[in-house]
Amino acid sequence: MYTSIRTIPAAAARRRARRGRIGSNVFLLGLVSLFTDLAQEMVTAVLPLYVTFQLGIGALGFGLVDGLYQGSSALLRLIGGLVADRGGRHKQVAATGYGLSTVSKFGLVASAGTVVPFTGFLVLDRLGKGVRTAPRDAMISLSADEGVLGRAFGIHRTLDTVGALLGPLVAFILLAQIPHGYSTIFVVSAGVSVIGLAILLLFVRNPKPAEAEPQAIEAPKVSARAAAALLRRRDVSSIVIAGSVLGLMTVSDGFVYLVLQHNADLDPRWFPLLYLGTALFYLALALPFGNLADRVGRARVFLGGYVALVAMYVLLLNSSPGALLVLACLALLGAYYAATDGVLMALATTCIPERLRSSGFAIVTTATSTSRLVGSIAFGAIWAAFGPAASVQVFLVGLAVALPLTAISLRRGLPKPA
Amino acid sequence: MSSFRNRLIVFVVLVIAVTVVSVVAVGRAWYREPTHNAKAPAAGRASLARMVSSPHVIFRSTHDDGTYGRLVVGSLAHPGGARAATRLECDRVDFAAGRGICLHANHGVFTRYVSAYDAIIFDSAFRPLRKFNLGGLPSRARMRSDGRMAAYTIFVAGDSYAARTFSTRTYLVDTATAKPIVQLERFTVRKDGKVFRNIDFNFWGVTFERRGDGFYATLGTGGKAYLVHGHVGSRTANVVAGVPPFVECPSLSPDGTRIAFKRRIEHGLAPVTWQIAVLDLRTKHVTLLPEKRNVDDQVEWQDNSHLLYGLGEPNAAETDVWRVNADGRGKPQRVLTGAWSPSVVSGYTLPVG
Repeated sequence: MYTSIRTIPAAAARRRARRGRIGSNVFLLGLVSLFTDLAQEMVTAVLPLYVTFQLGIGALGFGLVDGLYQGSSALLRLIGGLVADRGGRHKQVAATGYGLSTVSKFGLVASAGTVVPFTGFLVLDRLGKGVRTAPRDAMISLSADEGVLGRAFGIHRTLDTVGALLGPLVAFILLAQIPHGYSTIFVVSAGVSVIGLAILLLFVRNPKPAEAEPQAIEAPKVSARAAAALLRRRDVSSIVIAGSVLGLMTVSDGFVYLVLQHNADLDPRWFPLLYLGTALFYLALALPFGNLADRVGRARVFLGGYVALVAMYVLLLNSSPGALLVLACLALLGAYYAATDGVLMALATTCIPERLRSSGFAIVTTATSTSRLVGSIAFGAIWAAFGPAASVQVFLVGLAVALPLTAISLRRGLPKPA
Repeated sequence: MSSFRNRLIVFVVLVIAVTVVSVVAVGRAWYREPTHNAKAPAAGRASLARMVSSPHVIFRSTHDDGTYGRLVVGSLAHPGGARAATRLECDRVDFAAGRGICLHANHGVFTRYVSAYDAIIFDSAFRPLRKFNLGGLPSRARMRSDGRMAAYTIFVAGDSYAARTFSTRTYLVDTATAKPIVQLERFTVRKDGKVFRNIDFNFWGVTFERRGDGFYATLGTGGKAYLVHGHVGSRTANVVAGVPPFVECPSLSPDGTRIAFKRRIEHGLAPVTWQIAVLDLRTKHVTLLPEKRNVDDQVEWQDNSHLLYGLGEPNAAETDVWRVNADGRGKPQRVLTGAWSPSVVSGYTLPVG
C-alpha cells in the first residue's frame, strides 16, 4: 500500500519521482561529521599515551568505560530517534548530540589532570554519538532524491572517514612539536568540534518531512507505539532481521586484525596499520558502492558486502598468510563496510515512512549493532575454548548459511525494485 | 537571502576565533615545553667515572634544566647532590651487571601508524649496543641480575573486541642479540595444578629471581591480577597459591623473600588506583605501606628494607622519586627530585674507550 502514489505526500512523491538531486544538506552534514570526527579522533589517537604517561591510570582500568556506554547508548539512540520524529526535530536532536560531544571536548580541557571527570566526559561524548546518528541519517535520507540515496550516503560516509583519518595525523603533528601538549590537543579538538557544530546550526536546513502535508492519508502518528509498529511491516522487519542475523555472524574488525596478527605472526607495531588500511579501502569504496547500489539495487550491494565478508573469512583460514593476503583481507573488510554501512540506511529509507525516519533508523542500527556485539562476544568465547581457526570456521559456515536465507527473506519482504 | 550572509559572517568569525585560540594555545605550549630548552651537555667521562664508582642510581630525568627525558646518574646518599647526564633518552630504564635496557617513546607523527617506540640495550659506559622496535607503548622494563636477559612490557592498542581498549604484551629478550626469546603470552600457565587459559590473558611487570631462570609477573584476566611464578627454560608459569588476586607489577626483594607490588583498588566507575604493599612469600602476609597517594610504578628495592618509586602530579611533566620503609613503618620521603624510573646500581669502574 505504501508504494501506491496516492498515499505518499507531495514532498516525498517529488523525492521519489525526481532522479539525481542531492541537496547541499548532504555535503554539509558530511562536513559536520568530518570536523566532529577529526576532533574526536585527535583525542582518541593520543588517549593511550595521555592516560598512561600523563594521568597514570594504567591502561587496563580504562576498558571498563568502553563496555559501559554500549547499553546506555542504544537506549538513548531509540529515545533520540523518537524525539527527533516528533514534529520533525531531526536537526535539533542531532545538534543536541553533536553539542554533547563538543561540550565533552571542553570538559576534557577543563578537567585535564583530574581523573574522574575526565572519564565522565569521554562517556558524554559517546552518548552524544548515540543521540545524533539516527536523526543525522534521517536528514541525509530526506535531503536527497530516492534514486541517489546510495550516492548520498556514500558522500557522507566518505567525508566522515576523511575526518577520522585526518584526526590522528593532526594530533601527532602537534604532539611531535609539543611532546607534553595533551591539553593543547584538547583545546584544538574543542575548536574543531565547534566548527562542525556551527556548520550544522548555521547552514544545515531541517528537511521538512511529510508531516507538513495534510493530504497524507495514512501518515502514521509519531509515538513509541507507532515506531514499534514499524517492525510489523514486512519490508522493515525483513531489513531488521537481515541486519541482525548477518550482524550476528560478523566479526568486529578488532578480531579480524587479531586473527591476522596471530596467523601471519605480525609484528605488533603494524597493528595500527591494519586499521589504516581498512579505513583507506572504506574511503575509496564508499562512494562507488553507493552509486552501484543506486543502479543495481541496494539489497544486492548490501548482500554483496556480506559475500565480501565470506571471502574474507575464507582467506582468514589460511594459517600463514603473506603480505598480499593480509592486504586482500583488509580490502575485503573495507569493501564490506563500504557496501553495508551507508547502503543499509539507503535501503531502509525506502520502507520507513518519512515521519518515522529517525526512530526507524534508530531501530535498524540498534538491532544490527547489538547483534554485532553479541557476535563478537561469541567469537571471543569460541576462540578462548577452541582457538582462532575454530571461531573463523564457525562464523564462515554460519554466514554462508545465513546469507542465502537472508537474501530470500529480503526478496520476499521488500517491494519489487529493491 | 541576507540571513544567509549573516550566518556566513558568524561562521567566518567563529572560524577565525577558533584559529586564533588554537594558534595561541599551541604557541604557548611550545614555549613551555621542557624538551625545547637548550640541551644540557652530557657529563664528561671523568665525572661519569666518579659517579658510577660508588653505589648510585640511574633514572630518567624529568627536570626542566635541559636534561629532560635523559638518562641521568645520581646518588641516593645526597638527594640534591651531583648528577651526571648521559646522552640516552629513556622513559623506562633498568640496569644490572654492566647491561642496561632503556625504553623510549618518540612522540612522532607516525606513532599511531607505525610505532616509534624503541628499546636500547646499553653498556656500563651508557653506549648503545643494540636497538630494536617495541611495537607498543613502553610500560615496564627489568634487567636480570646477570645482565643477560631483560623483560619489558608494552601496551598494544586494539587487541580486544571492545574496540579502543588496549592490552599488554610482555617479552623476554636476550641482551646479547636483542632478539626476543619468548612472549609470556605463549607460556603454559597452571592454576591449582590445572592448565589455566583465557583469551583475555595479559602479562605485565616481570621481576627476575637472582639465581636460576625463575621470575615473577602479573597475569591479568577477568578483572583479576594474579601473581605468577614462571620458568624461562620450560616456558611454564604457575599462579602462586594463597596470594590475593590483586598483585600488580611485582618486584622481588634482593634476598628473594618478599614481593613489593601495587595493590589494585577499585572505585566503581572511576579508574582504579594503586597502593603499594609488600607480600611475604613464605607466610603470604600482605603489608600495606604508608604511602596514601596513587602509585603507578614498578617499585624498585634500594636494599632489603627500602623501596623506591616514582610519583608525579597528574598532567605535570615533573616527577619525583620517593622512598618508604618496606616494613610499613615511618613516612615516605622524597629522595630524588625531577626523576622517574630509578634503578639502583652498585659501584663499578667505568670501562675504557
